[in-house]
Amino acid sequence: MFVPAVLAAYQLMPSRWRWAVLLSASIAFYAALRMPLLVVAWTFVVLTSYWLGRRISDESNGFRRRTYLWAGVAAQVVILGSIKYLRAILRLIVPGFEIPTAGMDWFSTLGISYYTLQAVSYLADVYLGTAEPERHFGRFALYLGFFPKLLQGPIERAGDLFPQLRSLGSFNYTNVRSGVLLFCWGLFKKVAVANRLAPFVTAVYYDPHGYSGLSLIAATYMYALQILADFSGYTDMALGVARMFNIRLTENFKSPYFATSIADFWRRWHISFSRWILDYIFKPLQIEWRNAGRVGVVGALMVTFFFSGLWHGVALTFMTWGLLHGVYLASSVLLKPWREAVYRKIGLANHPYRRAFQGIITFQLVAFAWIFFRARSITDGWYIATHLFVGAATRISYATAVRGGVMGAILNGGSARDFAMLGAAMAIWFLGSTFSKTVRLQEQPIWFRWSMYYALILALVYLNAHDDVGFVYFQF
Amino acid sequence: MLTMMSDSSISSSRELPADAKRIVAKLVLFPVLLYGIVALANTVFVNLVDWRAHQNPNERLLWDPDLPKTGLVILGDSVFASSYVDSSNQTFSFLLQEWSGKKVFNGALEGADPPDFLNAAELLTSSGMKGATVVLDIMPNRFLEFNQLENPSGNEARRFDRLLGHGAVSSLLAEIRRPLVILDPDILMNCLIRKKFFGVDPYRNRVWDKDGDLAHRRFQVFQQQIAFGSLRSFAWVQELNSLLKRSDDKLVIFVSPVNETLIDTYSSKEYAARCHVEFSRAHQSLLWYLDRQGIPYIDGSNQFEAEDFVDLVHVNVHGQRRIAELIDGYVTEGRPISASAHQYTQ
Repeated sequence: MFVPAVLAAYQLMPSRWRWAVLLSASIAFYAALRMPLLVVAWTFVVLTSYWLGRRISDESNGFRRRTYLWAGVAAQVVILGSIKYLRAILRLIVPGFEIPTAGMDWFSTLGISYYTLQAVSYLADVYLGTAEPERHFGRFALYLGFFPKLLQGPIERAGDLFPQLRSLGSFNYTNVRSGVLLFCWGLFKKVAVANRLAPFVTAVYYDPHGYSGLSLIAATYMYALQILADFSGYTDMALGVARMFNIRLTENFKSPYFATSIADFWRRWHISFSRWILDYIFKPLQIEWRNAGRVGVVGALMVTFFFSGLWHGVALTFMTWGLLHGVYLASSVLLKPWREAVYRKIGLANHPYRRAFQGIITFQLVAFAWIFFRARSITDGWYIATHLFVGAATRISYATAVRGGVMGAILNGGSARDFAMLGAAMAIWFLGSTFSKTVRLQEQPIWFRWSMYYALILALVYLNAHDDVGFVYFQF
Repeated sequence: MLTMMSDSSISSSRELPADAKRIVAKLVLFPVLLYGIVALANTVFVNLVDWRAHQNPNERLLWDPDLPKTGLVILGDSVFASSYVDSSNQTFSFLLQEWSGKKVFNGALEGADPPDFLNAAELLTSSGMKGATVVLDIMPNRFLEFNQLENPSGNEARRFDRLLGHGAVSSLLAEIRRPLVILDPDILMNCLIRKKFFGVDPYRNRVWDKDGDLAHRRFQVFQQQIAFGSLRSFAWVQELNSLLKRSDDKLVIFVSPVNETLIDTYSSKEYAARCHVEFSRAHQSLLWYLDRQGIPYIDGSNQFEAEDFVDLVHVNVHGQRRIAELIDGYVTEGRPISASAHQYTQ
């Protein structure tokens, strides 16, 4: 009921006050989560980046401009670090420290990683002159806190979002309709695909030592699909809600598992984040180390992807995941001449199958890296990575095979019904994604469009997993 | 996916006035047409498919849209859910209907807790149940403390939420949706992938000490979880009674038995003695509470043989028959209620 109420208020308000409706709704949305420190942190980020953005813009002295920029970056890093590690810091000072919850979650970090990165990008863009500073405080606060993207991104650029926030249009049927549809599609991916995959992945990754190599492989592939359905599902929901208010947010995913190289994967996966690390970490480092040639590029890649891992959490698992991607990309830079020679030698250089082959290899590398991302500890991650092909057929029981067929036997659990419903959900996900690339639904006759809408509603009703599984990326 | 969902760019604004009527008409027509299609499909489905035959009889309360308006209604947990039989005509509710000639609806649910009993009563009364006799099973050990915390909303809270709704709008939607059985994925899937609900391990007729180690393993879990101490609140029983009274329904408690021979067999003398004392305390307190609240009860303690049990509390085919006899004796013959609290204090 929240979105329709905000939409009604938005429509009733004169256009010059619509930002106020969206800002109030965003603050109410954040406050309703009962995470008081996060509201304080958000207010701090808004105030510091707004003020420093203006100072950077108004200042002509290069040194002072740089000082303001770094002060802004430091402020965001400090607030991000403080909130993320507050509980650990307090427990270090006072062992066993605990605050009476009283219905509040004092130590949640929901959303903070996203809007602090957005604040840093704003300050950097203003410093580099690629974006104008926003003088309107309300609109600036909305830029950082717009509720559909507040919790899990996309991480928006000033140049993309401010022009839209300055001219908030009135009710637009086409946008509302397509927004609702996109929201429902995202919801389907989350509740019917991601939530159906989650129990199998959780069971294996909770205690990997109890499973065979085949189970570990199956659970790893399932996790690759789960995290895509989960995160892209949330993004579609966010984009859909924003579109109802005539705001177009950045697309975060473009079929990432069809990428033909790791570099291509990062152009398709969590696009707003990969653009951020590329523009604000990789490029400055690459320029700084340009005299070092390939070694400089490799160094810049390793640092960038180490940061990428670190952003997800200060844990060896995330760092390993980030470094693995760094290694993949560095290898592709260093081994490029050798790789081309191999392709020529095996006759794949100009062969149409080359892209498919590269796509398969890329997916295996990405899936392998997910092992460390998902594992509960680096020891578990290492165990899984080193036991993928060990004891493939052990621990498969007759009982689980009877209940769940081949998949039941491999995963040591699940019924034939579970897998049938999961298969149906995956098929709809795949067909829907493929269909969308060839057919423009809005140009089809009404009977066809409505049939599609009804099919989506019924798919949601029948395939909803009814499990309360949180979004994977909420933890970051 | 984005191109499917809309035009490639955000459309310009100001479309409403010219198209207002068309949009409103679509907004009305869209759900009405959807409802019509689903209702039609539902009619075809319920008339052509013997769908009830493929559903889980131990979850009938959650899938059957035809809830009882009167007669004899069974509520409870796994003791009354009759899982340990080989066919539906061995369940106590089937026998009870045969013997008493009354319509019996078994709404007991595996793993149900007090919040589920309250939800079940609310669902039944809101569906028009009036003047029914509701028999609820209560194990005295339900009032003992356990290490494992119970879900305060009950184990079937989500499914009851879907049936009852939370507020006026969702309650109305639940009411509209309930007769449309085709919208329930479980109902449809049970027809597509058929399951056997009786006679499949471990849910089959068995005797606790003659058939594997199921009973022993379960008792070990029970020992780990039980935390003897103060008794838990009985207040929900009175709450349930009040809820049913508002619809002129009569609550009768069936105090379910405990397999004491099993306790003596599987535990030390000291532990068994402590169990008997604690169970007796819970049992006596429950009977005292029911007497004080004026809630009638059928005391199943001391009415069962050890061979009637599957484990500590669940009964097999013989036990089902005994339950049917006791309830039948109460509802058809008005046989006096056995108050056998003494058995624990012997």
